[in-house]
Amino acid sequence: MDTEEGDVKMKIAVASGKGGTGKTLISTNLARVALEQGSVTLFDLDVEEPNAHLFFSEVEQKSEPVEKMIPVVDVSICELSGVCSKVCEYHAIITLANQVMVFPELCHSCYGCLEMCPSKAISEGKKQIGMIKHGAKDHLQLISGLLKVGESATTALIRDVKKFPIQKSGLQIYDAPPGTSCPVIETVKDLDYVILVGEPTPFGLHDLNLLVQVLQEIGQPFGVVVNKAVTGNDRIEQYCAQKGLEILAHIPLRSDIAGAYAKGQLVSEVLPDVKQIFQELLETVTRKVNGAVA
Amino acid sequence: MKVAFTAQGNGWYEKVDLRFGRAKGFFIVDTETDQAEYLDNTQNLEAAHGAGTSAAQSVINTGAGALVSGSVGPKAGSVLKAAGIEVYTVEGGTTLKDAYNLFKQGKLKKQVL
Repeated sequence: MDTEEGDVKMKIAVASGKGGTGKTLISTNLARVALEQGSVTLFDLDVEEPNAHLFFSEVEQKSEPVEKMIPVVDVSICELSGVCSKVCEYHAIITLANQVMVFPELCHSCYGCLEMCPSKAISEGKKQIGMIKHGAKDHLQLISGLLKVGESATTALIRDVKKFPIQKSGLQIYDAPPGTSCPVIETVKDLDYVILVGEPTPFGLHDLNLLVQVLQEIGQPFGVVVNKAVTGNDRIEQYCAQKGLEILAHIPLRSDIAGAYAKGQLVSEVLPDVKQIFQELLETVTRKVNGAVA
Repeated sequence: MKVAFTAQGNGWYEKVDLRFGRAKGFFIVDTETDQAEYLDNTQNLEAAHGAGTSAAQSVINTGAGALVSGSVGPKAGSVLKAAGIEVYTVEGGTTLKDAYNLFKQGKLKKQVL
């Protein structure tokens, strides 16, 4: 499969249990330093609030609608068997005494009802769940998913963004959504490595620990980056030492980093010492992935 | 007629659960005999999505003609409305016994679906 995608170097995700820990800071800056060595494809899979494009405003993105299959019931054939409602794991199709109600927002497009209907009364309809935006500039390819407001098919959209048929050569970086459930797992599965971003707050450690357990459960290799690191606070270091996890890098809690980020700047472009942190992080991760292959 | 109450447990002195889709269970009372039965709903407590429509299907399956709860969301409400089930609301902390008496006396507020 990789040959069809061109010269793919490695596929890495940037994830964190807790929101606001610095996934986008790390994925965008990692992309920036990697661009000095070759081409990069950056996937923004935080589809409920994608924002990586804000840091690459020079990339013009085209939008394409993403649809999902929803069941359409032909009332003239339907015999109200209720089979569809029984097979639907998400209760998106409800059989009443005189009608069948479909809730498209709840549907996960599994085709179960369509396959199982004894009177073949269900056919395939379409509903837009969001957009895929994509564009390229020089060696950077940027692909983002944008979920429609009110839609809950986050995982389906992430799957579609990952599968979107464009040239995905070079280093692939996947900016994950926060959390520890299906959307994150859909993002990180099949990738070479996950950079887990943790912040040294009680909440940050709590949610980091949850995602560590998820990644260990699914057998996904990963390492930890401490963002907003403060001297004297070794909460994450202690946790990692206890669990035998590797810390890949520290990004300090500094007002110049926060300030540049808030202005939509790539910190690796404006702060040379921070650029070096990202260059070293990229080298470390590359070594990890290549080491695992060899 | 049967009336369904969202319940925090099985028994007349348990409280009405103000949640509908994620109620602990349903306390179903036959108004002709005052006999009650209990339907567990804990599987729905874990549901990521569709707890409301699923609970509505459960209530419909009991054959209830009315529901007493805290408040019912729009999706579940549309299912209950289509099934012709009327929804009444109670204040938090009300026991099932008190809620049933208020229902019989016609003193409960109806939720417009």
